[in-house]
Amino acid sequence: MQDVYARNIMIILVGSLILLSFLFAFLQSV
Amino acid sequence: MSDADKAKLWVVVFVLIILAPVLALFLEPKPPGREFWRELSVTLGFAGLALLGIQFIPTARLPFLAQLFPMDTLYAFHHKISLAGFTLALAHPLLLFAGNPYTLRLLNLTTAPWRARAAVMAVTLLIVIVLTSVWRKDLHLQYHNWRAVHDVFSITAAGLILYHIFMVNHYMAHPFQRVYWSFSAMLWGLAVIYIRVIRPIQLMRRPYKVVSVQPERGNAWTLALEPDGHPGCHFMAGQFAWLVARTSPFSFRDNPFSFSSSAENKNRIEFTIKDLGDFTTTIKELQVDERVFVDGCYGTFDIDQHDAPGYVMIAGGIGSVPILSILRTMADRKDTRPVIFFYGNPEWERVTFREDLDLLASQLNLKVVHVLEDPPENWNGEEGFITAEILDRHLGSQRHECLFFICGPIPMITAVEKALLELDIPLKKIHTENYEMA
Repeated sequence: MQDVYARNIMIILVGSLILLSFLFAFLQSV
Repeated sequence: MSDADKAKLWVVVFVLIILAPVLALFLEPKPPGREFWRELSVTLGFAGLALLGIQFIPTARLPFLAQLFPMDTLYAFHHKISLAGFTLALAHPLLLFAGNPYTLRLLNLTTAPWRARAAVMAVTLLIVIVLTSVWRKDLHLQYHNWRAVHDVFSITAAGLILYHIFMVNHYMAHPFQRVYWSFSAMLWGLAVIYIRVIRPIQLMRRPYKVVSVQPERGNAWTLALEPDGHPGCHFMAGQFAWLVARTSPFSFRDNPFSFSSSAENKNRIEFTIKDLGDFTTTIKELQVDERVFVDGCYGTFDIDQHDAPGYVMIAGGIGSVPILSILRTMADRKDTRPVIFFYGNPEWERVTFREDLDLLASQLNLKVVHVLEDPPENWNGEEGFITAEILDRHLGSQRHECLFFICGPIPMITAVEKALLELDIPLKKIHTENYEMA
């Protein structure tokens, strides 16, 4: 149960970081 | 505020701490001529460091976190997040080199500036940390040696990366970034000081002495301890502690074991430990009155925090230890709630606590279902592994009112969780403890 929560939190967290990184790099370069 | 709400709050705080340095980049001015891949490289570097740095927190056994989250989940989270952080951190130089091959000259340590040398050394240390952590057993590394290397390399790598980002000073001019990373470094340092200095001092002041070491079935030993000059630790049945024997609490040689005794007995604690050929082999050599140290109590695998009208316990082999603690505690409390215990073992003669379970079955509303991989002749019980069919055969109609506790190695936990899901038991009713944390 807890492991499922942990996995979901990790996916959301790391996914958000990657998306934000791409967004920032894009906004800086245009 | 309930513990569940506190746990959710800490998760939100954790996510915000990780996202903060990347979100803060959006506050930066936008000068012309910025290259996409270079900016992406820098941002992923910040993201990777935020993920890696915070790893000092979940592994520091901080009481407020250990009370809210299962320790094995914290460690599992640490393993996964660290790998994600490492990947993002590694993407930083790789994207930099791919976007501008001229930057490859920074790999030449004889000519590169110190800020680049620090980064190269840090990445090298991170690669060693990841390789030795993921393949520790394949590399036949002793646990305590690996932990010493892991700690020293992690602290050094964190210091080198902080030096790198402050010296490169790209996006670090903003006061938020400077405050954030300085404050983060302080928190990481405090976590290390707590687990490596403060906690060992606390343990030195609260020693235990060995009362007895008794053999059990299944090549296991029950180690009984009494507090030496202090009130002892008041654990909850099902919890565990780190045991330090024949060495200093400042060493890296502590190992986690579940309590096997009743939580109602405040003056004597017991651990039952299977001899696996490592540190566990030395348990039977401990002498009466010998001094040991106990760092605990940890874990949320207990019935006091998870009240229910009945329980289903499922264990494989020595995973039965926390469950015995729960059953013994229930017996001392004259708890009459129904319990079914599915207990998987290779052979009948190696069933640890076999006789103790017979006694407990006479004291409690307890049904023990032994499942043997290699049963003796004329065996009338269950055979093979604990499957959905076996669970279904013995679980009554009240199964949906019960809470389920599973303890054992990861493959067994995964298989049993899957079997319970097949029986429409929701995940929120299943509590697990994996005893292979590191």
